[in-house]
Amino acid sequence: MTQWLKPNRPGWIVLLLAVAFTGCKPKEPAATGHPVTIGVSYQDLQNEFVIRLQDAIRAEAKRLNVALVESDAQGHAEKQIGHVENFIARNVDAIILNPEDEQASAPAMGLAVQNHKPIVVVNAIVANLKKADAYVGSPDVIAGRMEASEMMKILHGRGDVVILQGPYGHSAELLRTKGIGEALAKFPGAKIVAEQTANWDRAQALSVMENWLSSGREVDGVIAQNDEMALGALEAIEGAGKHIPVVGIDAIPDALKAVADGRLAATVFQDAHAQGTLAVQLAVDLVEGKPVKHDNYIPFQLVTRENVTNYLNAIPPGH
Amino acid sequence: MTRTVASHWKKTGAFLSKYGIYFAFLLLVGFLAVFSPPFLTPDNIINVLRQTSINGIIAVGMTFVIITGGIDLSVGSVLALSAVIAASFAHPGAHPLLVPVALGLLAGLASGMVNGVLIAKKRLAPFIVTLGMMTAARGLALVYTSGRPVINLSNAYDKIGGADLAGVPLPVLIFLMVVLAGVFLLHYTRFGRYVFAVGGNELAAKVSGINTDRTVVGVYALTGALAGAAGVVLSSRVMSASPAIGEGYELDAIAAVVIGGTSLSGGVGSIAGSIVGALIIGVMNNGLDMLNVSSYWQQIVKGVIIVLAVLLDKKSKI
Repeated sequence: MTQWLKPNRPGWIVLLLAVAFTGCKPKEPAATGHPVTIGVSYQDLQNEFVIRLQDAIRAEAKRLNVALVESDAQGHAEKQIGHVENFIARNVDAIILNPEDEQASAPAMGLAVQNHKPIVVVNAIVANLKKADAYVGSPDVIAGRMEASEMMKILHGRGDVVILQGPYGHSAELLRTKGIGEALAKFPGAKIVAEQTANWDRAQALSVMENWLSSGREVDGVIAQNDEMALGALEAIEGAGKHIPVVGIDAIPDALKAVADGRLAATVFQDAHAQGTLAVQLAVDLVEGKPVKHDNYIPFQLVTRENVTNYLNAIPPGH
Repeated sequence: MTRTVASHWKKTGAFLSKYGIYFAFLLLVGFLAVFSPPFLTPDNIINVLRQTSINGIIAVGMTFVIITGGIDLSVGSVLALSAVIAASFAHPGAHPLLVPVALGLLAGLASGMVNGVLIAKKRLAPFIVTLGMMTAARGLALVYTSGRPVINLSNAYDKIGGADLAGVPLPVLIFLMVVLAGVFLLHYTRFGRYVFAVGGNELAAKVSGINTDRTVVGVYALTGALAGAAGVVLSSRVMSASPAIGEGYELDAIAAVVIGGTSLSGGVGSIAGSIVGALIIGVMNNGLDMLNVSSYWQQIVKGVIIVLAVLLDKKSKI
């Protein structure tokens, strides 16, 4: 060994200490020093609901002193598997998955389970949801059932309704369609005279509704699977000088204002804040080895003119 | 006798060759009028025109671009950027109406000029430059709005897309003005002749003393400004400006121009053709909704009709 590579006395001490420390690497990452790191994969940060979910996740992470690594799938489920791969490579302590697609996001979940990463699924569901450590969300079937029941209440249990659907095959579309069907089946006087996708989009819903109206079809009520489409349909109806009740889902600020003004009949509030907050808490609990419940349902709430003020007050500034 | 029949057919062929796409359009309208009687009511005709106005405004710009042999993939994203910028200045009592409208047009014009300068001066492929702009402008719109739709717009702003003049909706009038200005610019000015010259043979155009760079920049700037105008009209129609607005609109505009007989290789084309192309797409969307055709089938039918229309046009030209 050449002279300059030979450690001097302090050098030996440092070397020994280093060996000693790597030998007893702490097993409790959540303790002091190391903050917990959570990887979050969002379905689409161009969607207002998902942005609200992100706000809640960030706020709760800050409160619990948790570091976040965030990725946006931009509406493409296949990107989520790459997100999970990156999370594993970065050695995060837990993963929160907000799946874009019931089937196509499932492999991303599977990958996390294979690599023994605690995983919390939030908002939407995946096919292999049972393998997740926990799920936080609000069942979409109930949202569909809720808005359709409200429409039936308005129409006294009978009438010709049209349905504006989300993108075909999207799990929220499938489940809301199912819920709407279940609710309407209870009323023999109710009939679905047309249904069409407007891909959650206001401009598209406006055109579809205009076309339905000018086809001469009598429409007694419009059931839209989200608020953007409900507001588009409303625009078409008001433009044609008609009065047809419209219901939506999501309780976005614009829709709440429309409910308050008596233009929109009802919307369904999905609690993004509660979902995001609980998802972070569950992920931290999992990292700390505490037991958690698998299914955590946050209830939907029907918003009508009577109770809309409670929700209007909760709109964050800037809207 | 046989000779007269033959020459008669020859004449018919020549007639068809010039107007093939117009026949396709009339065929479609006839079909829908038979199978969905409310289709030809005045209300519904206004409807179709209003729904076509956005794509029509963009298609006018796209016609110029494609005649130069270029392509503009960024129009949908530029529309969104213009819409969110305009809408953010259109809150009630904030600014006079001219401010949001002017800013929306300017945002479009500026994006288009960046495209044009990169294509003309840096000799980059239009497909690449506008693909970059498509991604970046969408990103800018998202950053500008933090991903949330801009809402709470003034009544004056809502009028742009909502009001009508003697029964004709304002978007349709704006569309009509854009068409007339486009026809004039393309077919009756020196700039228009340069556009055809650049698309026909850019080198020859340059040698004969045409400032081809300036022509190309002008064409993309014009398209950007028209996408901006479409953004203002659309955000006013839906009384909100989502950063996700106008996704995929570039393909509708390109389809309208190509159906209308403008060659993707440049040098040939007309505004009138593009308008008929846009109307074919608009009539299809409207008619298939009225017939309550499922969205799955609508996509198949639209795809087939686009190719059929172009095929008919091509066949009649042989």
